[in-house]
Amino acid sequence: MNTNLKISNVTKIYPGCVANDNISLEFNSGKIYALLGENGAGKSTLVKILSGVIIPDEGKIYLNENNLKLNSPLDAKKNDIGMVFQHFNLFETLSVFENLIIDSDEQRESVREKIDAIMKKYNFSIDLDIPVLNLSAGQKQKVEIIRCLIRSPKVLIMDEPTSVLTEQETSELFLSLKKFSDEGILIIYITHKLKEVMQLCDEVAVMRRGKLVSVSEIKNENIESLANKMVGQNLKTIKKKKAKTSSDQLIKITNLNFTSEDPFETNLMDINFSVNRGECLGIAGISGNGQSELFQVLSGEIISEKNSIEFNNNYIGDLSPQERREYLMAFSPEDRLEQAAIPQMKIFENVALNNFKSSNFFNNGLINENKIKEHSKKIISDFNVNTDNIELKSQFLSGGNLQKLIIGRELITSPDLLICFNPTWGLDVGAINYIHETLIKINEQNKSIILISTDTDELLKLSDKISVIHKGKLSKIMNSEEVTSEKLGILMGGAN
Amino acid sequence: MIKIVKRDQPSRAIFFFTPVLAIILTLVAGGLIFFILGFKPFEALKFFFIVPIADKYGFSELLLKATPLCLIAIGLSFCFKSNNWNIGAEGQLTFGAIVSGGVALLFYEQEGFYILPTVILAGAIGGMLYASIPAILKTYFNTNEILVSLMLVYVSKLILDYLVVGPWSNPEGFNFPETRQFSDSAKLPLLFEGLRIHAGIFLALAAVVISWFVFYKTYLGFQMKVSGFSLKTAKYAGYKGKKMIILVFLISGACAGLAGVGEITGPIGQLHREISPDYGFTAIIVAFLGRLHPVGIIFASLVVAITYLGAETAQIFMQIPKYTGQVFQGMILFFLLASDYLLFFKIKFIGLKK
Amino acid sequence: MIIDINFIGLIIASIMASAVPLILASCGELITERSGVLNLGVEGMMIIGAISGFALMTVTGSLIIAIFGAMLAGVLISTIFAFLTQTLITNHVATGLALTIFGIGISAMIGKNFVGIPGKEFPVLFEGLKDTIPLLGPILFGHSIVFYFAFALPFITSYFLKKTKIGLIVRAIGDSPESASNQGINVRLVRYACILYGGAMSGLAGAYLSMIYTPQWIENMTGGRGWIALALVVFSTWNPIKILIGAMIFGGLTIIQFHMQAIGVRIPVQFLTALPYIVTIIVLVVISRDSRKIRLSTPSSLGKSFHKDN
Repeated sequence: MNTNLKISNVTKIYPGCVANDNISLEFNSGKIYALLGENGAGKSTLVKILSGVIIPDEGKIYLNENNLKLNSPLDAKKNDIGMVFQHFNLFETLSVFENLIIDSDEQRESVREKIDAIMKKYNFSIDLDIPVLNLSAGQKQKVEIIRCLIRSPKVLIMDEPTSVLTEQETSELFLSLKKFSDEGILIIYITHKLKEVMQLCDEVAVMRRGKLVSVSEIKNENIESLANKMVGQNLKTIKKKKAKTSSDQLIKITNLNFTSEDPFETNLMDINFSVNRGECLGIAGISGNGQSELFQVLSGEIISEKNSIEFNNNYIGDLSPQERREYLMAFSPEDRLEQAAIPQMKIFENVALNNFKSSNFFNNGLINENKIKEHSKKIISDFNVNTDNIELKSQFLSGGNLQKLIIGRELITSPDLLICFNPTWGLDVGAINYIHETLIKINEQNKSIILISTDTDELLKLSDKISVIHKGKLSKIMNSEEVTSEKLGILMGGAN
Repeated sequence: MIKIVKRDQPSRAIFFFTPVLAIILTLVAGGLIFFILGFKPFEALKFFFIVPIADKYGFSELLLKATPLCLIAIGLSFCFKSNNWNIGAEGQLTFGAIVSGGVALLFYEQEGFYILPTVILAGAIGGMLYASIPAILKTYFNTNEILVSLMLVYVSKLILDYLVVGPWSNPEGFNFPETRQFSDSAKLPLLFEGLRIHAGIFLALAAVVISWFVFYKTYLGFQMKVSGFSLKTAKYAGYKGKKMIILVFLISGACAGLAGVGEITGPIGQLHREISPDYGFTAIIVAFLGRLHPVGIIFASLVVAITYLGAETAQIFMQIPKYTGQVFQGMILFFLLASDYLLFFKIKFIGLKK
Repeated sequence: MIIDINFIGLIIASIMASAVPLILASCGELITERSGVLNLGVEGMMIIGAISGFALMTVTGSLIIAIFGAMLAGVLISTIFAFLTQTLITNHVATGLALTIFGIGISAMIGKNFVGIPGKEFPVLFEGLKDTIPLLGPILFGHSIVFYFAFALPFITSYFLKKTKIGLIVRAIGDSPESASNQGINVRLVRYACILYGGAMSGLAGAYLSMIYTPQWIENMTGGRGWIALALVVFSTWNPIKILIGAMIFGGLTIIQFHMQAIGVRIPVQFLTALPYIVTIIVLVVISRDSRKIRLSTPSSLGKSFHKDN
């Protein structure tokens, strides 16, 4: 039976932004549709409306000509719309089986039979009786997919599903999705990755700043044309010039181990690497493989053995972040809103978070507000932060501007080494390009970077050397010319 | 129709207006309770909130009760601002009183200018020692400070009880559960003839000024603010988290200990079984009502102190049970927390749509 | 000295009796916390239950009305907490403290007219069987219905959480209210229910104190048991069966006081009275040292507010 899903004049307005501006779209089963757009284009809002998580201000949804009232996720489920969220909706401490039966009204035994049948059919293999927290990201996604399939959905929506997958897992997923589509399930695939659209989809709808820009067939498009539609301008391609190889070693990590008391964290095992001056070391990996712990060990939030980190001929493994800053290290953590900055505090107060002796922000235990403000103004102008009011609370900065402020705060001290973790996560192309240019510039000034990122393209673009982290272990360090994203994918999946 | 809209930004005006709103709502609800209990609401409220402070003596009593509340609340605001839930100020007060009382008893029937400062210092140290227990257990053993500090309240009261009926009881006291009277040099001077208000109020005022300076002008204050918003950020910035937890507990304990000193070396001049009508717990309300701001805490301590006096007056004149005071205190906190909703949400009244 | 074996049985029975209010309140709070809500108002709800039960018994003369009335009173007062924390999204810790302060005040206010009134005898079950089995007889028989309910409750709670659909939903919400909400579960409704249930159990615990354990009304008669119940939940690492063990330890400490005094051990009475509080602290320290285990068993969303944006 054919499935027809129609979105008609859907609008959703948030204070200060129109997330969906009068969107109308039509989908038919048998095809795989891409919903393409940058971060913040409004794709996620639209699919959350389709899955009943968000209620639109205006507009209607029709499934096979029936007007759907989607006031809750339950309504979407009842109407056979299944959704796999970008951030998994799983219960980590519950078993896989418990996760799967929670929204089912059927008997446990019959659900288990159904699950077994699905797993057999699509070649999934997951232990149903272990807690979800022990699963890899790829397995978690399969759990989410099974959860949808149990209800034999007519529509399956995938929101940025590959952001946590390796190259190999991605192609497996694509095979499954094509199978689902052949079986008559209508697939809507949300992404900002152009390559995936070309690879998988039949039709593509492009969104930009809450508006629908175009709907077209894939065969009439190519990566460049889609990119232009998505960004609204010609994409600048940033290329790093091959840096002159320096052999002047700046930081050396030797036999570094970290065993966490927190079962939700990853242990680090026998980390060894070194970075020379002017070099960018990229660390790839699927999120949750120890990146956060590695960042904290390098920044000093987690203290390690004194001799395990040698920086500029000093052993600093046992120093705190503040003490490491005195040795000219700088840090840009992944979480902008909960770690790198405090949204409820003013811009200049956030600047004071990076405090080192010569900044004179605090003399004899007192706040030197004038000094901090002076410094803040310089950061704002040097790093193109789009405001001139340093008294503004930083929650009013866009993600891009906040990241510029953070990077600016860290770089204005001219550190010898910048350690950053997913610096462009969730940003729009303009901000991403700015950050990338800035990172290239500091390498050119003979300063070094350790770039921990889950974005393989970003790593290939910026790194001189690349290593992959998997389950808390680093792969051997490779020259970036020698690696391809396929090779990285294999390593990210844990192969040697 | 009523529509609730999220505010883009918490409103600053409402931040200071909601405590006032909470007090008003408490009065309304209080009137209602009086009505239910069979009292005339307006008369009861008058006896509760106006009569007690209508004369000089009443006003002195108000300040007498507000002093420990203010002092403890100032100390607690150090903890609360930095995300540390010290709810055992009552125990720190008691232990501070025990230590300072013990020192005062050492100087029994002795006079000297040095005695009072020593007694005061002993109280602060006693409070700090007692507060250091939950602080150390929290930092080094990962133990929940709420439960530990609370349990210690019961322990401190039992220690006090043991001392005043046992080893420290007045040998000539006919087995009353109290110690000997302290010497005059160990007592805080009274400020006015015939009134009970004593020099302890200057300790409270000093705490207000110092805390304001620390909160808004010092690196420590900045670190506390950051830690209060996000411990992750504080860690990333490199602040010494454990040191700060212990420090704020010590400050808080010292303030509570000083409040204890004020209670025993003021008009009473001896240790006895019940040195505090739960000032340590009530001060939690004062700290919140004052928005953890030193000036706000002054006003809040005065407002809450009235509930103590009012309860006594209303009991004498109208036979209203004195626990009504505690009920009012609980209600103030309820209404304050509830009205905080207005900080983040706007309530819009929209005409009925057809 | 010959110790009568039935005397040992009686001591064990009295330990169990003093464990009853702790088990009831802890099991109630455990459900509340499993849904991610930290209600520090147990002491306040318990004392409200104590006065309500006693007052209703005195006024109506009906034990059944009194018991259920006490539970209802616990439900009513916890509704304030639920409304504030779930609808108005207030801080759990501060709201719980307010609840305790408020509860103690209200109970004393109501209780003023009930001080010094003698309580009623509460019927016990299987009285006649007490002497039929040595040692076990006094342990198993001759207790109130609430006593038996309390000792069944940890097992019922465990079954509820592990085996029932609603139990699963409660655990899921405690793990991640966001995911639960996206799955179409009404987080607020379930949390309301869990809070109210916790209130009912605390109310029952209080009623047990004032109607059965020491049948009279004394101001502040809960004396920190509500807080110890909270500590027991941590001690149990959110496992209802372990609450039973913890409550027995604390019951033992309470009973030992009396017997030590009776035997004439020369330890100040205040020290013995302080023992349960000191032991609570020690137990908390010992438990908390295994931070890995605590982290795994603590409901992930415990104490965090959840608000659904539309």
